Amino acid sequence: MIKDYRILFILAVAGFVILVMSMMKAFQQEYVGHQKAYYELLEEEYTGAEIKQVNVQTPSVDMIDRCQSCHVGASNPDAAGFEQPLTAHPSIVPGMEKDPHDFNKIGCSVCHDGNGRALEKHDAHGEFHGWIKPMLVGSLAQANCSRCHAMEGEALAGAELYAKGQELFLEKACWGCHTIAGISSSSQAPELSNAGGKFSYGYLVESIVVPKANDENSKMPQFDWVHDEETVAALATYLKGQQKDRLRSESSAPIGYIKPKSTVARITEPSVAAGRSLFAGAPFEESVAKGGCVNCHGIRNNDGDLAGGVIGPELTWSIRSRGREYVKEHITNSRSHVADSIMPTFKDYNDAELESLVSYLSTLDYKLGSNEGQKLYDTYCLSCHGEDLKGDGKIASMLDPLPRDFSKYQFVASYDDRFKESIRHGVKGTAMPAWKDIMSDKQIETLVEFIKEKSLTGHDEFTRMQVTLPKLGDAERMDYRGKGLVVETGNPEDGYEAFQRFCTSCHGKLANGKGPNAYDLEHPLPRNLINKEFMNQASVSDARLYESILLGVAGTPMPAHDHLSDQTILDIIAFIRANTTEEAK
Amino acid sequence: MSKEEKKEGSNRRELLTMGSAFAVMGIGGLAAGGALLKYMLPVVSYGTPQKFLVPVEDLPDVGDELIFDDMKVVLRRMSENKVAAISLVCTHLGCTVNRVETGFLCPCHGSQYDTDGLVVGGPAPKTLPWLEIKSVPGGQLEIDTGTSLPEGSDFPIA
Amino acid sequence: MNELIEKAKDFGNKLYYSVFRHRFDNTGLTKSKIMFSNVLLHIQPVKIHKRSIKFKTSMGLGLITFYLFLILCVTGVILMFHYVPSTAIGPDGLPDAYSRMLNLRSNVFWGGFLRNMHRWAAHGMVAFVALHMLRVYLAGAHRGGREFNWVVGCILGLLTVFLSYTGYLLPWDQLAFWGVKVGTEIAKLAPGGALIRGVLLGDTDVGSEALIRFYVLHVAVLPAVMGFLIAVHFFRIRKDGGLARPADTSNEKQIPDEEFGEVKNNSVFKTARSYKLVEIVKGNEPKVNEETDQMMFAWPKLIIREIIVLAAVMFFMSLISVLFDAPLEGPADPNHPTNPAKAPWYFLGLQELTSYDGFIGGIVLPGLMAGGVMFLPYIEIFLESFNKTFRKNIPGVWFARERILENSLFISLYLVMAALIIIGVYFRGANWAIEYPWVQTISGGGH
Repeated sequence: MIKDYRILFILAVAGFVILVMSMMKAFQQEYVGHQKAYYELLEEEYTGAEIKQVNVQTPSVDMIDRCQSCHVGASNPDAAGFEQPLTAHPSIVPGMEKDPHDFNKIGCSVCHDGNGRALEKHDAHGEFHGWIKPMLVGSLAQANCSRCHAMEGEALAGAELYAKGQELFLEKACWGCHTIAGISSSSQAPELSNAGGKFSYGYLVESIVVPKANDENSKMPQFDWVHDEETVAALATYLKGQQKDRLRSESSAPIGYIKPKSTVARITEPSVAAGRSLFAGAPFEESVAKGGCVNCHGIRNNDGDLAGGVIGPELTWSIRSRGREYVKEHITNSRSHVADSIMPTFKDYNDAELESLVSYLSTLDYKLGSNEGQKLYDTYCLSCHGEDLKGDGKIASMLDPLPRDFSKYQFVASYDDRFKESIRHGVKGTAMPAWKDIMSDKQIETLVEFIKEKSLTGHDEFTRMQVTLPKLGDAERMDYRGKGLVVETGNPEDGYEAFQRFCTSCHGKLANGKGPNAYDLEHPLPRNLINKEFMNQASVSDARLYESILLGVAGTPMPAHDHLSDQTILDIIAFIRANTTEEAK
Repeated sequence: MSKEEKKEGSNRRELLTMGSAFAVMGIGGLAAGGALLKYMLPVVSYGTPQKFLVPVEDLPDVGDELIFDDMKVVLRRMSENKVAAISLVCTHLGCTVNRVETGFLCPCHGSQYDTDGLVVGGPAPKTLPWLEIKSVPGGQLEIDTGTSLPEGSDFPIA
Repeated sequence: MNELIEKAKDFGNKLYYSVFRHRFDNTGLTKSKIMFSNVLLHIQPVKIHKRSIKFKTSMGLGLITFYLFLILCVTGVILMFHYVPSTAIGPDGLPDAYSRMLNLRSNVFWGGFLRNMHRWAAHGMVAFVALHMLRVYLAGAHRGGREFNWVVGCILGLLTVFLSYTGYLLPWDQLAFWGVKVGTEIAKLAPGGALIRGVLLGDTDVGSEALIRFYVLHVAVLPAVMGFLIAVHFFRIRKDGGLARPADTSNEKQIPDEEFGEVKNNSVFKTARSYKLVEIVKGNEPKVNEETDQMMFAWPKLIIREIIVLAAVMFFMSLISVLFDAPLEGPADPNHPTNPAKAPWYFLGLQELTSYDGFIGGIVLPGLMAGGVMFLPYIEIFLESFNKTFRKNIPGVWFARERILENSLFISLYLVMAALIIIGVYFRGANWAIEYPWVQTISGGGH
């Protein structure tokens, strides 16, 4: 029996020790140590620690904030020199004798987020998995000024980072795609009116720096200014400040609510200077101009140096190649001419603003004196078609359809007769503009020769079979199998069925070039067959379609379909045509 | 040592070990009980705060009153620039008194007060407490329900 | 004076006997009285077989499970003082139930410890139920008149899992919400599952209705049912003659007599043993001069051993609760699923199966498994009488040679379940894709 009693005794003692430990742990919470240290530093008598809870009053229920149990010196100026967490909070509103923010009323988590109820650092700062509002350190707390103050108007004293973010939002043309109520309206990208309520600061920073980090399908371009940490922080702080749920209503808000909504400059008299401001997103007559084209589009100065973003096409020659009307239309509705353009639509520009922009763009000029192929290519083609003619220029990934890949020599060998026309008149429905007003015929010829030489050198000769569009009712015609066939006018309904059978895996059910297989294909992606501008231009003839379907397109993933009968191909062509002509449906 | 003595010794040892084991467990149990007591005790308060704010523009006309049901306070405009606040908590057993023509009437045990809160009848031992009012920045008055001032204590509107 | 002392002694005696009704000496009569005059002890017989007390017989697994249940009841009731089953959102954006968890972790004295204890004891109980079942089966203790008690035990096991599962939702954090969400989605696969789900959730989705229902089930309905079935379970063990043992134990090595204390014989038969005190129970009643040698008084040896197990359980549970904090994630957010969304670990085997095939993995296999295990003793009896293979029934012997087939099958069932659970817990990452726990993946930040 004594053995049993001994075991019992040992277990009882061990259990007791653990029990006492658990209570010690409960007694010695972090804030106790901090408060002890605080009184020691102040050389005052320590009378025992307590949880300092602030019940922050809001229109609904109270918010619980216990941060000052550790940050015990937050509102004590004598604690200014102490280390964290005991130090005094630096002044919030610069130049104010007594700071209007009373921490005994508003606590800490109203501005700094985090977990107000917690009493352990890790927990309180919201550093655990799934916590909605990780702490906003230091000046990032400016994001939360908007919970009580109105932030639409003039800058609030002390919220400099936020104000800078607001400026950047306009200057960097974020507003072009993203809606923030009262500032912009665009359906191109997710609305950010409640960005701060939905996303954490970290998430916002990540999404600005690497747009695909949180959403693989994000179409947001990766901007080159994101390496500047301060800029990103300012912008993210501003976005974090966009919150729908506010703690104060408009009537009960402290200073800052009764301000005019927007101070964005609106231009009433068209002028080149105004256009320049709009283009650069720079202030115009002392208020921010709502523009910022330069963030995506580059322009050249007189020496030919390129400046600006590399997301959209270069605009140095845009007025001469496209014409003023086209450019205006493109700004207000980018998809009217290029079906798959990612450019946002800037609907709320008024005529004066559009006119100013166009006027400014038409002042841009850069003339290339040389006739040398390489130089011509570098100036006019490089940004889209890329260094090795691979169609992977800097901005290529933002274009749809992608710029032509000239490194596929089969393509160049088969279609080189088309090149000159495409360069002269552009390819409608794509980002390829007409160059006839910029380059002389001779220059164009030089360019074509340059492309051909560069692409074809070192490859075997490639000859493509010649086929002709079958004539309707032609009894003499033999198909490639040597059989005579009488063909009738293509029937769009039969074509629809054939299309669903043979074409949808790449071109998609809607014929928009976005079939399931398209995601796995490389450079030349399936053509968008409902791009009206493209399909209705002269060069896209029935003969070309017939040839492309029957033989495939050389140098692209489009395979030959010689198992289809002529009638079927004609039906498919009829179906495609029916999609892209006005009398469709 | 005889067999009998050995047995006696081992018996004593057994009893001692067992006794101390149970003693330790008992102390542990008591400690746990104490901890549970502390577990039940309030450490922080979530209740309605003692003080509340009234915007100056919401003040009643001179001579009129404003009753704050949830705070159990009546606010009285004494003159153009003087206000006073009287608690509506009966000094007898803490019921909320009703404002009547003649003053205040407690529905629980029939205590009667005049318009200044002085006891005129019933079991109430004391005058209704008058409260401290402070002007705070932003054109607001802060009424502290935790205070208890003599009758007639009024405060200026800043 | 002496008279006064006598009177005081008399009063003292009366007081003592009104409470205890027995002395604490070493006579057999006293040892019996202690057992049957105490409400807590009388669940156990006055005399038990020496075999029952040995560690290898039961390993104390059932008892540990019972103690964990007691710990859960006590800590659970204490936690109820600080809990509100409400999803109402406060201005700080937190559901009430969740902010109570934060309070337990911060300002409530000892709250974190008690929550940890409750949480870990709940997980521990599920595990020990499984171990207890394994022990019972491998020792053949589910046969020989105890078949129905096995069924009762299986129901208790299911109740344990269900109790644990209903409690899982109460913190109302992401882990809880999505764990329960996944669990109820599995339930939907069953025939009539939509009905069960509707009754459980009270809504089309996990929400405030579900929380209050889970709460009531967790704190009232299930513990009451469980308590009753535990009583049935214990009562039947008692009436079946204590822990299962072979018919003849005379050849087994037993605990020597001096180990359980001296017994003074105060019987009128000075040389005989007190057969009269041996209870009359069904089945393995002690045989004169054979079995009685193997019997011993339950007091104090058995009781002390039981207290030892209790102390050990308390010690380990406290240790774990001091060392490891119960998980708590961000507040439940129905719009942002955690990835992967995992059910509690004891359901992960099931979730793993459903990831291959919803109906077969979620309904057919687990249904067969639960039903098969529950009615296992009857299946055995049926097969034995069908095949006319009447084997010698040897309950209470570990890994009996005659039962090698049954035992191996049962062990493999456990191994398969364990493997599935391990895969589910450690090898499943985002989108339920295979992931190796030793390969660190960098998360993409997130909401």
